[in-house]
Amino acid sequence: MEMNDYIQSVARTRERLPAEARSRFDTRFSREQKNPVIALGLSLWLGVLGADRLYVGKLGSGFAKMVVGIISLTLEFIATGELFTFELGEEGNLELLLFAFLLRIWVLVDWFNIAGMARETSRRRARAIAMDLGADIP
Amino acid sequence: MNQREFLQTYFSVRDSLPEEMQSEFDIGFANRRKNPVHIFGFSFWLGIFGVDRFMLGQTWLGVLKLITFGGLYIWSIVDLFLVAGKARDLNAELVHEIKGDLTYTGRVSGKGT
Repeated sequence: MEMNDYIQSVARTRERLPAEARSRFDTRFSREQKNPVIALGLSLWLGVLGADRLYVGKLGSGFAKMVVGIISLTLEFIATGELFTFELGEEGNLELLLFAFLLRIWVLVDWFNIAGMARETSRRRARAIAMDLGADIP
Repeated sequence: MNQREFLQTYFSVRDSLPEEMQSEFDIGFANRRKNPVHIFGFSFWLGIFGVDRFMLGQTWLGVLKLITFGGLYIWSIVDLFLVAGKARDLNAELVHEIKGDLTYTGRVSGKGT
């Protein structure tokens, strides 16, 4: 979800609330919303462990990504004898290393999607909060 | 400025406008705002070239960052924490500027008009 559409959407949802309810909405929403910048930061640094997806509330795919990530790190370790290095060394196993990197494609793709996912989660929560507070949402 | 403060600012200014002006407010903002996610992304990948600061309109800081290779990389790291907040600060200023425009002239200036 795009930033502009997101702000619009939350603004319109919030509009449907009577004025007195709006500050309660603001309090709850500010607690529950997921910041897309944080999501991207998590994705860049800890994406391999699925932390980004866990942050935006996607627990299922988050843990799946974590499992895949741990497997890829393990394979990388087996292939090169150490982590966070790009050299193969003599005992290196190229095929294993390439496979480990193949498993990282998910991490890469999520860099581009995660901010949108954060906004979608926030938008969903905004609607839920508004409905809770009595607004009528179509 | 963090995201919650920014959204508060945005919503309360928007609320203070008459209903007919609210969608023009939204559009005016959408056309000129800086997306903190984009700037953070650029800061992460191209921070040593000062690209993030250029995007924030801080040309002098950007050049300084560029010629020092991101302050010997240290500044780049620090900026990862700073640039999104600065983007939101600028967006908040924009919000007030747009309100001012709408209130006094009934129109929004800038691109997209």
